Amino acid sequence: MTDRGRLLNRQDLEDLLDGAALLGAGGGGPRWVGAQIIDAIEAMDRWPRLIQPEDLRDDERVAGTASIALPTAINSTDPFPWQLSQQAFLALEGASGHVLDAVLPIALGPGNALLPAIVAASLGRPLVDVAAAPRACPFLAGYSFALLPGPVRATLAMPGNPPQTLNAPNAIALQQILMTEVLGPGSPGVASIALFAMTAKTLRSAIPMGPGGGQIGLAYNYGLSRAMALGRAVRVARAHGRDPVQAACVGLGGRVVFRALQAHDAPTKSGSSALTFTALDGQSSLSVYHLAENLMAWRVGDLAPLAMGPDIITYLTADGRTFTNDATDLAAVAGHEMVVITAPVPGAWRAPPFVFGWGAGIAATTGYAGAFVPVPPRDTAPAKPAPNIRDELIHLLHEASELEHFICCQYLYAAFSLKQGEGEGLTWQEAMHTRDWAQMLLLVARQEMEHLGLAANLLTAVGGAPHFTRPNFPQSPRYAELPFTLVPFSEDMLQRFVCLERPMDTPWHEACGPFREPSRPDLALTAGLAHSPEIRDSLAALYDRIRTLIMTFPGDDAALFIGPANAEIDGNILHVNFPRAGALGGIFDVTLFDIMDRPSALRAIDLIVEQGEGTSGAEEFTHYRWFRDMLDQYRAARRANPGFEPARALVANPTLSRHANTSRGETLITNPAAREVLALFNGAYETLLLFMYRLYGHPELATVQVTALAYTMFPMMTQVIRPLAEILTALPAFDNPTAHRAGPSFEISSAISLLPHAAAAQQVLTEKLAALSQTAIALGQRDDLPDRLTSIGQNLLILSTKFNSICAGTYPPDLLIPGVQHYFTQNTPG
Amino acid sequence: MNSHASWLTQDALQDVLLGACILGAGGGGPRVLGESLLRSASGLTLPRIVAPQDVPDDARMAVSACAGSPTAAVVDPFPFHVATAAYQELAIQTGHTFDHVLPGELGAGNSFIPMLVAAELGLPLVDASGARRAMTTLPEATFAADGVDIAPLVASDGTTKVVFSTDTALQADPVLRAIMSSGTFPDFAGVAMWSMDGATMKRSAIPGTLTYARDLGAALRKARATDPVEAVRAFLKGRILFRGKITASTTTSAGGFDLGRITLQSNDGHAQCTVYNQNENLIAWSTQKPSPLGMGPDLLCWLTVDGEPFTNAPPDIAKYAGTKEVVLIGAPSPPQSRAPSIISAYLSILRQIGYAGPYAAIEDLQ
Repeated sequence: MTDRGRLLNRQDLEDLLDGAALLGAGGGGPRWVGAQIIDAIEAMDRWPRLIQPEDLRDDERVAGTASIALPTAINSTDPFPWQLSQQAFLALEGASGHVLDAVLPIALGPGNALLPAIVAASLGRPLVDVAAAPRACPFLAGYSFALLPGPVRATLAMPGNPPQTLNAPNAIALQQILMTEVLGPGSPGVASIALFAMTAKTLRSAIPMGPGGGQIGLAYNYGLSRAMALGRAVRVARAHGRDPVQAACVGLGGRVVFRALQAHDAPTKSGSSALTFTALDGQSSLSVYHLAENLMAWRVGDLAPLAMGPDIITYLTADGRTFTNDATDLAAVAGHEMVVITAPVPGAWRAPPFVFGWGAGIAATTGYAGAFVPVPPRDTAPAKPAPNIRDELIHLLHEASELEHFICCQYLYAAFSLKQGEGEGLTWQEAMHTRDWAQMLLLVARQEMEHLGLAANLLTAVGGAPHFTRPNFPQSPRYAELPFTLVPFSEDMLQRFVCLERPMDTPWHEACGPFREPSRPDLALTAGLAHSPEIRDSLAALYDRIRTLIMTFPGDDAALFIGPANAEIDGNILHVNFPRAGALGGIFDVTLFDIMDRPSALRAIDLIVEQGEGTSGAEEFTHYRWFRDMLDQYRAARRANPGFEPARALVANPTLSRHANTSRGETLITNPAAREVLALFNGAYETLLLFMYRLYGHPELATVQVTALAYTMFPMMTQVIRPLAEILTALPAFDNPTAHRAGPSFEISSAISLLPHAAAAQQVLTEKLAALSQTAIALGQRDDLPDRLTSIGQNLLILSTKFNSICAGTYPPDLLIPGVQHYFTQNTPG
Repeated sequence: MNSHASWLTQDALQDVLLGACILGAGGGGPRVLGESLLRSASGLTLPRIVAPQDVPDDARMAVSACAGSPTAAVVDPFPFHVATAAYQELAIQTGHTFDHVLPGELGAGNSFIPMLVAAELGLPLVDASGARRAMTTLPEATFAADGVDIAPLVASDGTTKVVFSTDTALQADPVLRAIMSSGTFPDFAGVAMWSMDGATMKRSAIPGTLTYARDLGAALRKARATDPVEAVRAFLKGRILFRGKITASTTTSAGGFDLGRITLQSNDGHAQCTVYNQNENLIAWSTQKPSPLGMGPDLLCWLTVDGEPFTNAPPDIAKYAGTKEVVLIGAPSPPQSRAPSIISAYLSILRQIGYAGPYAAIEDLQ
């Protein structure tokens, strides 16, 4: 259980706090409560593990928790008694007679999104990445879980009293009980509640929305991830001097409706309160009616409201601080320019039950009894039509794929160049360094492969095609004014890697040392598509642009993500989504998953960016940090021994032949033996790319063929590519005797592309594996080449045989590793 | 019309009752109160009705009314003498001899209080008032809009008398409410205020309001067998805002006043109409429209489809809720009642019940 999902860190929770504050729509618990909870989680040093509903077995049980409070009462609780939620949760567990395996958030709000997180962390149970609405609601009727038929059991924990169990015939009746018990006269005004205990199967089910309403998933999937992505977008915008309000609008799909320097909150005679904003020029005002959560916004002077629930009316300051209607939150932003944003909720959340529930609640508490006024979508008149945005998105994902591929090869080359022990003239201490650096470089390269896979899934999802080719090495400066070259491990190389993985907000000179800063005006246009020059400054900037395009695409998820879901590759298919010994929150693992909507797309981008540049809460696990550390270690080792040379004397940019698509600087390998091994390496590498094309472009494939491809592709990397590269680094580069050694050139011929026809592809791949096997075995027989080549040839023969027998259905299923076996036996058609 | 003889025949009184009930816009006293007062009137010599232009400039008069809860208003017979007592006390307080009685508003009950006070005191009744409808608060009267001095005010139940003065009607309204809710007068009290001369009345009052109510009632009576709803609509130059059945009537006490809410369902079940009232109807909404159907000072009037006017008072609603198809008619108020201060008085209430917009005339809310 505890190995599933990923651990959230402080930065994640702070992003969640800000995103949930925006989605909380004025309520969802005060922001200061959420901030206190994050501090409490850090003090415990127990971080919540975020899982998806599909990570749960059907029979595992979950329940939600939240806080209920009168605005006046909550401000007298400092520190906020989050333990009440834990008590309520455990009481519900006792009352239900079942272990509750995971904690559900119900509301997305700064307090109520963080409360389940601390309950999950404190109890060591996972936190499910859902919510019961895409926002916080003042009425239970706004939450999907409330639509479940049948009685509702809840447990209520109030200060100074043991938890009590409440049983109500339905959620609406429960709401009435809570109004009396918690918010009524003489009540404490603050309580935590646990409710909606259900199985994971129920959580994953759909519920009908009444006549004409269709049905929606019971859970609002990726609820917390969406909030985190929103908070992150605001934070990143703020950090890079961009407009955080614009970032919030893009993330919410909303628009600014009012800007003010003053706000005055006062109760109305209908039961709600009205926070009235006065415009900057003092000439107009906007009243936002609320019951903690905002109910309705009305520009004073208009005949009809501007917006109302279930749509979102929310705030932040012009400089990007989030806040709620809570008095303490409002006091914290006094004097700042405040911005009111309205945003539509996803269409399903405007289904009749929700609109009716909100309408009744709004009428009862504000008096407004007119029609629902939907907030128009943000992009009614998009600056760019959808096809152009899709074009740019596909273009940039191609670009990202090539970059990840280039970078991966460079890291591998550097790793393979490192000397392997005292036998190569290193001290023991130096040998430890080179061993650690090689491991780290291989780890980073593995994550770049993961990024390449995620980029392929993103391409497929948005209607493009996987892209696994690239020009050959070397390449003149293409990103961040840095050349792509295959060079052995050196200080200059490390500095270049640090610069490549530079976070967007790190000054150029701090990360890139002697390298020349890009001249932006020269880099503004690529392939006819106008790009922001900044996207060529760093990988993070490129992905930031991709993120923006995804968020601003004028259409819902179904309009953007049009690729067949079964064409994508997830880690279960590859059997790589497993924790390794010493793994920290999946950091050392390859994590691949399907991308079918904006949250999963943003999750992929977050993963790529955070593994690269990192976040302030987890930068010790980033490529940038690792390379910086490596550079520091290298410099220290050189100071200790100025003669320390960690790398073999590999040539720069080895090549078997000169290619038209390279810049100057390649080194032609002339030693005959090295040339033969390099040709074998390149053949194996190209075959690997053909396998990847088939695997990621496989919509017509039977599951058995997917399994066969996956079973062959991964062993190719470890049993063929890596040992061949290691052999090459020991072979002379030239005819004439010099100290220079060859190395893996990762050359790609123009013939490498998707083999579209399954039977023909199987034949071609089998032939290639067999030919590579024969060549390797033949080379292994030669006196001037290592015997290891024979083993590599035998590995290729085994892979070829296995590939064919799995495709033919003759491979013994019990020899397949468990995860793949299950997939293979359960899903094979016919 | 002979201004020296009363035209208040029994038929005319019935017409006034019907018309005033409609013009009460949901308030103005329950219809049963009007019927009770008419029975009381049968033993009295009814007053002469005087057109405003026939009132001498130096004549003295004041506004006569009753204040109290709607539930108390169904006492039968209604002791209208309390209003007479208040009127007489105001004369003492001001040192004037009143030679006319001036209605403050219209309504099924409220139109008859000053009429009976005039009858009891043997004074003529002026065919004019401060509103051609029932009012929710004192600042809604044209007298308030014109700055006519409302002080002193007298509230009396015949034994206890409270006399107070404020500078404006806006200030007087909450004081009067506080007195009425203080327990000083257990159920209701007569009220007299706005002592003025004939010249002031002619400048500030809306003329012909009683005859307007009578004529409206007559139009309704005559159309009963044909299309009473259309007859009323046409007379008022108004619009049918909603047609359906009353499904709920609730009253909530919040912020110091009782807010009533009447809910109707359209016959096809697709739309719902909500009308808020503070005795009188204040604003109407439909679930088919984001802007209001209509709002005060314009009239939001109830009528059954077969021509029975009714009010928001519990006995009236109980009679028709769930059983009878009714219509909500919106009608423009006269220009005098659209003075900025009167609109502001309505908006100050509407602000408290979820409407943050401006006043929009009923004819502009199509």
